[in-house]
Amino acid sequence: MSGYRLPQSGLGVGQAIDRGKPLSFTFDGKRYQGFAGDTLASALLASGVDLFGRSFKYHRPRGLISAGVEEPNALVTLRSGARAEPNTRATVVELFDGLEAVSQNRWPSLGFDVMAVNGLAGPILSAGFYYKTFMGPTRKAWMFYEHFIRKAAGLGAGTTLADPDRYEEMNAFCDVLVVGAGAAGLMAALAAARSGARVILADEQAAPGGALRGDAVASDLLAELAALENVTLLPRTTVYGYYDDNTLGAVERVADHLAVPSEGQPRERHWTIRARRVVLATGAIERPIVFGDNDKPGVMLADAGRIYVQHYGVAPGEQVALFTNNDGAYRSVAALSAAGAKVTAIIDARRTIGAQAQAIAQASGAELLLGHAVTRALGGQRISGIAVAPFDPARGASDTARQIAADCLLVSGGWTPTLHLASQAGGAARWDDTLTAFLPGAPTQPWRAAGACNGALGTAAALAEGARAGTEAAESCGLAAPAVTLPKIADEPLADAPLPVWDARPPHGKGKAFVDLQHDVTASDVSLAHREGFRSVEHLKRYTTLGMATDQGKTSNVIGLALMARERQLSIPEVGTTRFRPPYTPVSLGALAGQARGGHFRPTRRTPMHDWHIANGAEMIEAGLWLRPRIYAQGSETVEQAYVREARQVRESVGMVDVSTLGKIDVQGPDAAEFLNRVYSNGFLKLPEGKARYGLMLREDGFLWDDGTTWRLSDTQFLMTTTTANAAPVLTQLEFLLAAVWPELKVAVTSVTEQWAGMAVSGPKSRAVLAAALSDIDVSNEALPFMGVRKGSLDGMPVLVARLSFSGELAYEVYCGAHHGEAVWTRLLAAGKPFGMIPYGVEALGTLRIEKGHVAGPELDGRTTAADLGLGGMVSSKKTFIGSSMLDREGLTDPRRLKLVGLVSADGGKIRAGAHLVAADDKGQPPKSLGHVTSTTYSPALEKYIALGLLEDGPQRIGEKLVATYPLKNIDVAVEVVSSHFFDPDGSRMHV
Amino acid sequence: MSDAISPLKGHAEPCTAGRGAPGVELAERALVSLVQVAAWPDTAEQVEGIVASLTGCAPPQGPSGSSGDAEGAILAIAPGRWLVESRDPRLAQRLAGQIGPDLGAVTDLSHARVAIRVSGPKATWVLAKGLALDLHPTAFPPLKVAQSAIHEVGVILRRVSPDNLGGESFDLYVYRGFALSFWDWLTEAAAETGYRVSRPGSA
Repeated sequence: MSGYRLPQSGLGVGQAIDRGKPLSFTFDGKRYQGFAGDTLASALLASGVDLFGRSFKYHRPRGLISAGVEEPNALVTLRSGARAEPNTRATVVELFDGLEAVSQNRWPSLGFDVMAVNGLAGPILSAGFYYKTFMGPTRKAWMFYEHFIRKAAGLGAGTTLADPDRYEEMNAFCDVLVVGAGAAGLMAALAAARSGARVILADEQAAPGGALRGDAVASDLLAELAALENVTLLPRTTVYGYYDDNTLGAVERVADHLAVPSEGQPRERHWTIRARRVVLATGAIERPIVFGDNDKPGVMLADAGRIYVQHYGVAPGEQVALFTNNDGAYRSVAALSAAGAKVTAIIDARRTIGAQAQAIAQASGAELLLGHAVTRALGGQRISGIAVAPFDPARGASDTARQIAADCLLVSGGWTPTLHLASQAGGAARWDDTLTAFLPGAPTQPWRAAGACNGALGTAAALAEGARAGTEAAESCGLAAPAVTLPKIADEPLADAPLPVWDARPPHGKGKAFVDLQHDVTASDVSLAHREGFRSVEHLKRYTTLGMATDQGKTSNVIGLALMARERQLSIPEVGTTRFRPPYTPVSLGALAGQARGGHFRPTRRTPMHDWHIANGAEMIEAGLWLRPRIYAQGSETVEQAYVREARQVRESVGMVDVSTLGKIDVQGPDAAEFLNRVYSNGFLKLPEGKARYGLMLREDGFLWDDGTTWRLSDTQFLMTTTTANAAPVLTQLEFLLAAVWPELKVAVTSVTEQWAGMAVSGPKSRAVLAAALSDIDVSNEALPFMGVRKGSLDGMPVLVARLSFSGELAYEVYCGAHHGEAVWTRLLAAGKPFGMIPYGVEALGTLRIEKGHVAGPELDGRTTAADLGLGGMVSSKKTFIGSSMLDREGLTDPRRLKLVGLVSADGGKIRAGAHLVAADDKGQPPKSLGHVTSTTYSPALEKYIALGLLEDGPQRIGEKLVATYPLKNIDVAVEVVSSHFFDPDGSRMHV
Repeated sequence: MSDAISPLKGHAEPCTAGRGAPGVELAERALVSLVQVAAWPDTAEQVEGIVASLTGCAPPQGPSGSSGDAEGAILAIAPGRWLVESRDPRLAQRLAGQIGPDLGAVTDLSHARVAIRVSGPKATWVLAKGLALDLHPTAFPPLKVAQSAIHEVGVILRRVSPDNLGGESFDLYVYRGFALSFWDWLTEAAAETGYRVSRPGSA
């Protein structure tokens, strides 16, 4: 218990919180109080909580390191139940009343964690331990151990409940996108906006301002921007990824700061931003220094200490010490002193410091130890003191240490510019010796960097760079940007240029010294990687997993590189740096999915009679995006009982099925017949008006592609139908052929799938039904012969009637305008009532076509030829057409190709689609496959289970007994090979 | 034509959703005739003239332009290809009467699309949730036409000329079979700003 809320004492203490609005929340079930404006971290710190979680591998107690997105330690599970979200950083969670958070990776409790025993085994559990130990001797060993290892390591667990909240997408376009609303970003946005440019300014924090947050300069700039119509301000929005064509991904946390989003409000919104120019003003992140037990709760980054005081009015401890290598960190001392918090000691690795820093130290009353370093943090579950030793830049810290009491240690090792986006869209980062940091490399896309991320750490410099970048960005969009006046701001007397100090451990230092806190990677692990030959930065990263946690090594990467550079006796730029991948900070899957979830995962396509089907008990089935009636079950009928009844009724009397999903293409023009003749394998030139023809389309490689009937409506107009599945690909192919292959043909093709509702009326009574319903079409056999097409109307609604049969019965397809679909459907059913006409679904449709041996999707599987399916007669040898030149290939004419046959169950067993056909006496394991089953059904006409299949020497095997074997389910069915024309082979039923 | 049933029937009844003033107004427009006209490369100018004189609209200015209003409109959807809307139920026959096979092709799509008007101060905001198009008035001025997709549903989009609605106004032509799925998406996207559904045919 050492952090506490500071009393209100004027400006510069707790300016982000509203002490008049107390909020109540729980952490690990215990109730606490905070204020509006607090983060979960600041409110817990104010309540004296210092233990936030357990570490990834060693289960060490961990506290707060930072006050921002870089936080590697303070990861908690936020909310509960379906809204539980693991691994949220307490430092960026805005407090709301009733917030619930629980700590992670500990059992049974945060204070007493059984797995902390891993810490005792520390020397064994070094980098690569698990793989070295558990990977051998066999792959199985790893699979056995993995479960236990994963359980012991890791972070929070996600919920398996459905997320009750909404997420959505947004598309945005702008001239200039400014990422980061600190000094540089605000100024860049203003400079660009003054030119009239469309500007988007995105900032990850709730309140923009960055390091200037709360300062009058920031609020003035913000007020000016907010008043401009051409500026879009996006607070709580993290630009996480920089992609090709200057497209950036961002996530706006619309309602994450609320307990529950309000009605209609999305929790998060994903922005796809297409910007002409980008200004990266992403700031910089402070880095720590490595020493023994530097992960102990109470050790915190220096600037985070300042932020907790100034923004949230929270002192991080009662006896605060500072360890630094630069003047900038003295700002934190000044802030603590001004707020009345006690700073007991300042340990500075440098022998001399700036005058202003000296003055701050003196005024604070702290003991100032120059040329010293902190070599170890002391204490149990939290820091109680520090070991301090003389430090020499060349030789490092000495072993002779003295102890100083402290319950909080602020550490500053300098600043690391935030290069994530620059790295995603730029060349290799370049090293800056003054800042001992990497700066953005050369852009590969039109962005420019400004401010701290570009190395301009001072406020005045950042403002100036921002103004320049904004002006240049606007000008490169072709806009005239008027000059902007920079806000007056005092010169920063505290320089951030650090003495390069990475590792303050003395030669015989004790305690684990962490580099990557989130992944528990220590300085010794880096040395081990070097000893074992993993010396390139890429190998170092993968071997130790340094920088690979969800924080992407924001506080650890540069230190890791520095330590490897020391091992290799090279400079840091010689060792090089790894690149950053998106996302800059974690992105929720909900934000990426947006509205594409549940029923909206894909759009649904409905036929014009959809609502009627639902109202009349249809069970629907997906066919691509379409929903089609599968069966219309009566009472407690099973699927099989329903389709058998429906199919039987069609054969005995009459039924009607919705065929609106068939692809329909309007083919028009003086050359339409010629075009079709080149597209289909059979002839279309001589198809007379008012007639339909069944056509086959081949792929260019000669395999069968699609089939359907095409109706000649006039000399120059055809209505082509395709299979449901190939409607779009066929149209695309036709458009391609007309645009690129035969541009001289005057033909226009248009999808009219949605224009027409289609229904097939099938059965011996179908003619009687149509005769009763249609007054202006003579449907007699003479007037409307097989394959005839007639135009007419039904109660004033225009219809097209074609005498086609897929079922093998006397049958007609009736097409009408889609909006009339339901009306025509119900009128035909009414006309069919005296004949017992029923609607039937796609199951019965399949049964009827299988009984007739008509091929469909399962047979047109892209591997079959027309000849394989017994349709060789439809492949013309008198003309060329798409696919014709490849027909005579060896593979396509091989007599051993599988051929279509019919199969009848010999033992009454149900034949499974996908079963393999094997010889009855084949005892092989596995037996030799002679072919396979494609389509299967129970046949009410034959009163047996039947199937279509593709079989070696198919037609020659008619009469043979085979076995249809389905080893996955251990099902063998004895089958007899028959002709695929099971029922009415001479077609007498449809020619009546 | 009481037998003509919209796929939105029963799904897009007048209602108001959300608190406060609705950010958008949604309405299914009455679509009487929608006809596609395609010209051959050498007849485009002639066909455009015929379409313009038949509908009484000016020829649309350039590709992705349009002219006219709900009484009669011409949308240029591709070089030598137009979508023509009219309140005349015999539009397709009249166009076909003047544009024979030697000039081009006339295809009736009156049943193939559903027309939805999205208007109001938040119309652009709501549509941008699904449209990867820059809808800023400088980039997408009144009468401009685009073919795109919203949530994998193909749409033709037209910014309507400024009117008295006091906000943005767009006409969308959506494939009939996808209309309800699209409507569900639209109302979900509009939930944030609140919306009002007006009586079909009122826009």
